[in-house]
Amino acid sequence: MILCPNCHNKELPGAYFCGECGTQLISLDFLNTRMINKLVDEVNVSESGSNSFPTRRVIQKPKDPNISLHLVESGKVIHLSDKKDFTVGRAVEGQSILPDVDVSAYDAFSLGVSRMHVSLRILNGEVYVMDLGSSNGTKINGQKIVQHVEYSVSHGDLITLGRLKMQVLLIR
Amino acid sequence: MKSGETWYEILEISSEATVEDIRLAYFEHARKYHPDTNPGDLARDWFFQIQEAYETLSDPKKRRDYDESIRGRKNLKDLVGISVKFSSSTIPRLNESQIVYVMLELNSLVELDRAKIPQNHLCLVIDRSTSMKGSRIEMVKENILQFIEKLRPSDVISIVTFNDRADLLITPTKVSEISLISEKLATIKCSGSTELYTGIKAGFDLLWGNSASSIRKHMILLTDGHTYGDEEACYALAQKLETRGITLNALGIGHEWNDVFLDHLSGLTGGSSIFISSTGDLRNYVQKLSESISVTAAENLSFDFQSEDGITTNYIYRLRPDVSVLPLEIPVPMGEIYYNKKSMYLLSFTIPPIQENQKSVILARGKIRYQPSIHTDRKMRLFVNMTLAVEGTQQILNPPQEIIEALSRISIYQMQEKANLDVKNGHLNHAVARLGSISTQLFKLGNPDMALKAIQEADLIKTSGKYSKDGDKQLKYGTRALLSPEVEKRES
Repeated sequence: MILCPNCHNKELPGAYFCGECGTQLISLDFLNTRMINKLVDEVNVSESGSNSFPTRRVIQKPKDPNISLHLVESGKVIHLSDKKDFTVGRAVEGQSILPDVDVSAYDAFSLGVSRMHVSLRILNGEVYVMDLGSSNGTKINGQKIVQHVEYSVSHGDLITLGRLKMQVLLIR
Repeated sequence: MKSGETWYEILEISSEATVEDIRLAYFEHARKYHPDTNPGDLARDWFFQIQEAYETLSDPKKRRDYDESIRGRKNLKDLVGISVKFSSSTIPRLNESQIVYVMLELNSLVELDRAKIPQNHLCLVIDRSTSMKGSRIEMVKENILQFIEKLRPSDVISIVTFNDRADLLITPTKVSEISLISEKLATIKCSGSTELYTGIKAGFDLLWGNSASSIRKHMILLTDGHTYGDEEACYALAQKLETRGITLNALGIGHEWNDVFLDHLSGLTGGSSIFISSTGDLRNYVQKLSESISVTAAENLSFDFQSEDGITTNYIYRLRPDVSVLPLEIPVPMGEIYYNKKSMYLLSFTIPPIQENQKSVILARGKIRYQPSIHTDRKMRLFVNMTLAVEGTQQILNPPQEIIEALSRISIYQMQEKANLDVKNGHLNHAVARLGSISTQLFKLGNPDMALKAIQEADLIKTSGKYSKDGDKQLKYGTRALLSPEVEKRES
């Protein structure tokens, strides 16, 4: 069985898209929309296969970075460690599901941060941000991002949750 | 044997057929025409012909001599080429069910020869129930005039109008000899209810009565309403159309017609249903139709196949030349192939858990029969074998990009179908959530217009409990149109 990461619907192995919410279940290189910020020598490592299938790039696995979030207004820095997948939002008392990173201490309510606002995911040395369907949206470097789509971010990028600004710091 | 007919034609195979192809074709024909099941001299004679054909062609030396003797007399080569791609190059040994997708592409191996375009007979079957009154029927009349102008002088046209009974407006007439057409169209009076069966039956009688086999026959049904009570009879009639090589395309005007019914009805004949919301839609369709009529390389394609026990066919979509959900009745009517253009199909199969000593999985094995338009009196066949080896225990995810792209669009179309069902069953919250996901995916695919339409409809459903007047059809045919790989090219 494959479990859809978005809506937890079960699909049979071999399926590529969730039948309930349409989320793509398998990540394939040629499909991801993301900014290309690869080093030149990394690009050159890609190999072409002998069959007609588009081959996945064979890249030496880069080291996963540690993420820190620098809250621009307060100057505070939150260090995230150990995990590969975080949710960021505003914890509310009595709520059953809590975000991994709670930003309620930073005026999150009045700045329009949702309870589950974005997820941050580390995969193959890259960091991806996805808006989880927040009420007030998310911006990366001032550009509004589409909900439920992962965007890759680099060191120094500015993420805005509602109106709460934070800078992503990646330490490799 | 008809004069000049070769052993290859008797067995409905090409001169390039392999030994295995010949054997398969022989067994099929021998079973079908065996004297035990077909009493009568004619069947017996035919059976002996089949025997002799097989004896000659299965012996390499005899076949060589025979080929030499018929050389230059006829082109008996394959006219259609086939390519099959799988979502996975092997099947992993899993102890649970799994899904495999197959992309099937067919293309014409011969070039269009303008001198050899066969004659066409088009029968228009027009709904003249009360609801067609006014702008709808006027739109139809206007487009018919333009359509006739686009046809070749040798083509034949006939027109039937119907409500609860059918009337013959124009008997089969060559386009070059047609006169007073606008006067005749002007006599159409709209009244009464819609009974599709009467209309289709009248059209069928006209097409079949005009029965020279070298004439290609099409029926085009224009309607704006539901038919009541005669659905089953219509389906049975559609199957009859299919066996006689007549394609039915159904055009639904406005928002009241039954899309599920017309989809299935036209699908049974290898045709498709089209949503007409404006005179522009009708004009586009007429334009496309008049072009496609002269570029058809092969028609009446049908896919006759068997899968290994336990395997289910989930769906077959035709992505090109026109998008359609094909009925899963064996043989599956597949439609047509145009010159210079591939026909594309996407199939999905569910495979049961793999047995311990199973080495391969037969997804589908059988043949595609077709009628080449340069020899309208001949049927030809292609043998298809979709078999994958069982290997490893892990899925190898290296699907061809076309399959993934097709699937991403199919998943949106299917969600839209589910949302429709939710609305029908009163599960409004589900429908709204689904439309939300649809819009997300549409944004992702770069279709903001359709995505916004989905959001609009979701808002309407939330407040009023139903779609806007033709919102469901707009979304259905809109998301369906996305399935065609051409849409993308046109935009880019």
